[in-house]
Amino acid sequence: MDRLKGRASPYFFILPTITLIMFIYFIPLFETIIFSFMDMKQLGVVGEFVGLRNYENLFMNEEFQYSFTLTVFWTFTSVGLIILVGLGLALALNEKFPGNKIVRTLSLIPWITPASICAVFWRWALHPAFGSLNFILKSLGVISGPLRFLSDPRLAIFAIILVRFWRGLPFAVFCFLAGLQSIPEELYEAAEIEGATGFYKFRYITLPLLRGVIAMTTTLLTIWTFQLFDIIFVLTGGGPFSSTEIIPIFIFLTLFRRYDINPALSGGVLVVTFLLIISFIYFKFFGRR
Amino acid sequence: MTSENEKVSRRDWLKFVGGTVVGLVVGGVLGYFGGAAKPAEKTVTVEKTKTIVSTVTSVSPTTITTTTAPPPTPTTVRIFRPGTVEKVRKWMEDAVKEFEKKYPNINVEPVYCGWGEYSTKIRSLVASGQAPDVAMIWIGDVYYYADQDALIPLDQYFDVEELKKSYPTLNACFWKGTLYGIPASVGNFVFFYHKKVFEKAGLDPEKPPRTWDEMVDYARQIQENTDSYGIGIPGDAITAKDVFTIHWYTLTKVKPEYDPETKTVYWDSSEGRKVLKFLYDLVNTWKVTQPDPLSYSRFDLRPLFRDGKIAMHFDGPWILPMLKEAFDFSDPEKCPIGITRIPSVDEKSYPYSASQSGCDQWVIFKQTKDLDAALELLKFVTSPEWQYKHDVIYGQIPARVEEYEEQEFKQWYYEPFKEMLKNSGPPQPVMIEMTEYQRLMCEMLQKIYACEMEIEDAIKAYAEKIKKLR
Repeated sequence: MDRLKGRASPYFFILPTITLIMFIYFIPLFETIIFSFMDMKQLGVVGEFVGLRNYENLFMNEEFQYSFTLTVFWTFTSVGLIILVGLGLALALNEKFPGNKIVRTLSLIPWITPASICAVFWRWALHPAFGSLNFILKSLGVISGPLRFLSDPRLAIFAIILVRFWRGLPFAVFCFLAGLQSIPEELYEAAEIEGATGFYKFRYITLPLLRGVIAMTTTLLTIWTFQLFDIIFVLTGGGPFSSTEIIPIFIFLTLFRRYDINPALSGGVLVVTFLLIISFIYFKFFGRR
Repeated sequence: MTSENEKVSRRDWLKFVGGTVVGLVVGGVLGYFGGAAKPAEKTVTVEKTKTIVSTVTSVSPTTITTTTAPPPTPTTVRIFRPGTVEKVRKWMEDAVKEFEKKYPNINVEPVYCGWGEYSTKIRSLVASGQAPDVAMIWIGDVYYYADQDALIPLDQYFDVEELKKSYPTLNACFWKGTLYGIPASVGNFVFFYHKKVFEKAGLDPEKPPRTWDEMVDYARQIQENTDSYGIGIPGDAITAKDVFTIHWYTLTKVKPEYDPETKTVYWDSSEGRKVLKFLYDLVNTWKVTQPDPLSYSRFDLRPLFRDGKIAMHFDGPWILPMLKEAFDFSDPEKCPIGITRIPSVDEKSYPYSASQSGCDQWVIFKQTKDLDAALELLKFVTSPEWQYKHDVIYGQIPARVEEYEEQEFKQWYYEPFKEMLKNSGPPQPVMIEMTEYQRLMCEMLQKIYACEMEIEDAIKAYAEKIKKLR
C-alpha cells in the first residue's frame, strides 16, 4: 500500500497541470483531428464523416502544394543561415576581447524583443519610401532606387527570411556558446602540442563535441520556424500574391478569411504530425544525451 | 528527515479525498439550485405596438415598434463592437451605464476588439458557442451568418416600414428578403484634398478637380512643383478594392460588380477595362500616385495626407477625427482640408459622381440565452440618442436620417457626404463568400499595379476565380 502511495504521489502533484493541459491543448487537438475526417460546413457544428477525402483534397489543392514548398524553402533557408552564422559568431564571442560581455548582452536584443514590436520595427525598416534599410543600401551605393522588400513577390520571402534570421540568431549563438564553454581546454592544449592548426582544432575537436548542441538547436529552430505565424502575418499577411503564405498563414487565411474549414483542419493536423515527427527524431537521437 | 515522514499519511489522504468530494457535492448543489433559479426557457412576451420615443434634443422623435417585454429576472448579455478600443470604450461605457440604469435586471458585458482581430475573434466566439448576444458585424459577415442560420431574423421584432423611414441604408440589411441587421456604422467615400499643397503647386485651393482628367493634371502639377505626391492609392490586400468600386460606380452609375445568381462578372466589360486602365495609368503611366501602392493601406495613407505628403485622397468620414485633431475645422475658409464629391469621368459624357458606402450592422446571434434582454439592448443602442453619440464619437455619417437635424451634422464637412450618399452603392456583392470576393479583387488590382499581369489577362483569370465562389 505504501509502495502504491509512493508511486501515486508524483501523479497526484502533476494532476492539476495535466488537467489544465488536457483542456486547453489535447481536447482541441483531438477535436481537430476528429473533425478533419468530416465535412465541416460550419465551425462548431459536426459534419458528415468523409474519411480521408479532406486530406486527398488538400494534397490536390495547388495553393497548399505551393504553400508547402514555400514552407520547406523558408524553414531550411532560415535555419541554415541561423546555424551557420550563429556558429561563426559563437566562435568569435568565445574568444576573450575587450567589451565581450557588452556584445553578448546586446546580441540578445532581437531574442528578447516581443514579436509584435519586431514586426512593426521591420515593417518600417523595410518600407520602400521611409525604410532605413533602403536608405543605408542607397547611401552605400549598393542600390540606385528603393527596393520593395515587402511588396515585391520576388523579394518578400527573402525579406521575411532576413527578419527570421535576425530574430533567431541570438538563440543559436547562445546555445553554441554554452556548448563551446563546456569543451575542456585541455583538449585544445593537447592538440596544440601535437601541432594542430586552428582549422584542425575546429574540425576534429570543436565540431564533434558540439554535434549534440548543433542537432538540438537545429531541431528546435526547425520546429519554431516551421510554425512561425505572428511576425510574417504582421509584416506581409502572406502576400503579396501569396508569396509569403507559408502553411500556418495558409491555414489561418483559409479558415478565417476564406471560410473554408476542411483544408484548414486537415492542414493543421498535417503540421502537427510533421512537428511530432521532428520532435520524435530529436528525442530519439538526442533526448538522452 | 526520514522517508517515513515524507510519505503522505492515510489520514491526510482521507482528508483530501473527503474534502474534494464534499466540495464537489456542495458546488454541484449550489450550481444546480443557482441555475434553477432562472427559468429554464424564456418566453418572448408579445406586447403589440409598445413604442419607444427618442429623447434626444433637437432630433425629431422616431418610433420603433417593439414586440417584447424586458426580462423579469437578473440576466447578463454581451455586446460586441469592434473598432479602435479607446473610441469604442468612450461610447460603450456611457451607453452601458445608462442602459443598466434603465434596466436594472440586465447586466451588460462589452466585448472589445480592434478591426485587425475582428474576423478571428467573431469566428472563434461563434464556433465555441460564445457568440455575443448583440454584435456589430461587417456587412459580408451578416450575409455569411444569415446563410448559416446563426442570426435572429429581426423583421418580426421591428416595424420594417418604420425603420426604412429612418435608415437610408436599410436595404443592405436584408438577406434573401429577411431583415437580419440594423445599420450601425455608415460611411461613404468622398474626395479629400490638401489646400496648402494646392497653393504651393500654384493651383486654386477653392477649385478641386471635377473630372478624372483634371485630377491627373492637378496631380502632375503638384508633383512638378512640390515635394508631395499627387494622389494616394491604397494597394494592400484589404483596402485596395475600394478605389476600384468608387470609380466603377462613378462610371456605371452604381451598377453591381457581380451577380452571384447568374455568375455574371459585370466588370468583364469595356467599362471595367476603362476603370482598370485608368487606375493602372495613374500608378504606372502617369506616375501621379505615391510609389509602390502595394505597401500602403488606406490607413497608412491617412497620416501622409494629413501631413501634406499626399495632396489628394479618397476616404470616408473615419478620417475626420484625425483631421479635426490636426486642423481647425470650424471655418471652411480657414481649414486647409477641402472635402468634395468624387471626380466624375468626364463632365460632358459621364458627369455622374458616385461613391461606395459601408454599412456595418447590429445583429443578434441565435446563441443568445436571453432574447428579450438582447432585443432591449439592440433597441437601446440603435435609439436616435445613442446612435447619434456613437456616430459623433466614432466619426461616422449619420446612420439615421433624424441625426442630420443635429448641430454636429449640419457642419460644412458633412455636406459632401450627404450629397454623395444619394449616389452611393453598397460594398459588392451580396454573397456568402463576399470576403473572398473582396480578397480576389484586391489581388487582381495588386497584380495590375505591380505589372505582374496585363489588364486583359487579369480580368479573365479573376473573373473565372470569382465565378467559383458561393
